[in-house]
Amino acid sequence: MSGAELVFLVFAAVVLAGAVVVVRVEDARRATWGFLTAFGGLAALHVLLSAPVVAGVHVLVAGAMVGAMAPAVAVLRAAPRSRPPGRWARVIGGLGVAVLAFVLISTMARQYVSYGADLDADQEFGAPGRIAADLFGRHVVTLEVLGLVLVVAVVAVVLGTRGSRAGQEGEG
Amino acid sequence: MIPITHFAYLAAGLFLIGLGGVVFRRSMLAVLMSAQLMLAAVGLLLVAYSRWWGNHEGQIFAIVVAVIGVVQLVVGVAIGHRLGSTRLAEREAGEGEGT
Repeated sequence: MSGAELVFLVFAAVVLAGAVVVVRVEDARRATWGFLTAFGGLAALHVLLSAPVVAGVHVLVAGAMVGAMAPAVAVLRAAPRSRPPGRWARVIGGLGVAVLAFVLISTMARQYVSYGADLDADQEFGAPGRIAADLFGRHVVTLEVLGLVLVVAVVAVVLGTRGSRAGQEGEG
Repeated sequence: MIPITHFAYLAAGLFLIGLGGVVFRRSMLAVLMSAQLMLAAVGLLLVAYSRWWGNHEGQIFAIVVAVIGVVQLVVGVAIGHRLGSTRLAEREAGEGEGT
């Protein structure tokens, strides 16, 4: 096992541990910490893949998500716990996850036998300049559409929050 | 050197954990975070195969997916926050009328 593989395994374990905490822990605050841990590990893995720009985006995105979730965490901690899913819902959900796991693993097992390609080291690949050249060149329409979607989302959230606050003030 | 299959298995595992969270958890915040894990798994796979093929298309697509994920989570949290505040206010109003 090479040093790079060892580093990969360490960060992969961090990502999976954080993901399990998000899914299993009831406390919203601890689940948020698990979420941050998982995304931190993912950022490190993207650096291993010579994608520092994507790693930086993941760090920013994780911070933005936690900032957006903070008031929701406070509200959830004040609300009583919801009823857990029934037995049949768990059985059906578990079967669905198991089928999907079988399909994914069997597909990748065939690929491993057929191809099994390794990643080579390339210092130029993933450089911010090259990403920016593609993003503002061939994919500028995608970038503009993304900006439009962000603006629409921000406006929707602001209008929705303002409507809620106006309703509460009217009742008061 | 790290085989591409390592990233594929990790992405599959992360996707399945996120899917389990979406299916089994009732809390809206947990469901939103689990959905983000699924999107992150897809992004990891995109970047890994982008590296394998030696072009940047996958990295750009992964950035787009990450930003769309933020939008989804922010809008979902805003909706959940409004619903939660409304239910809390209704519960307090009901308790006030009862006493």
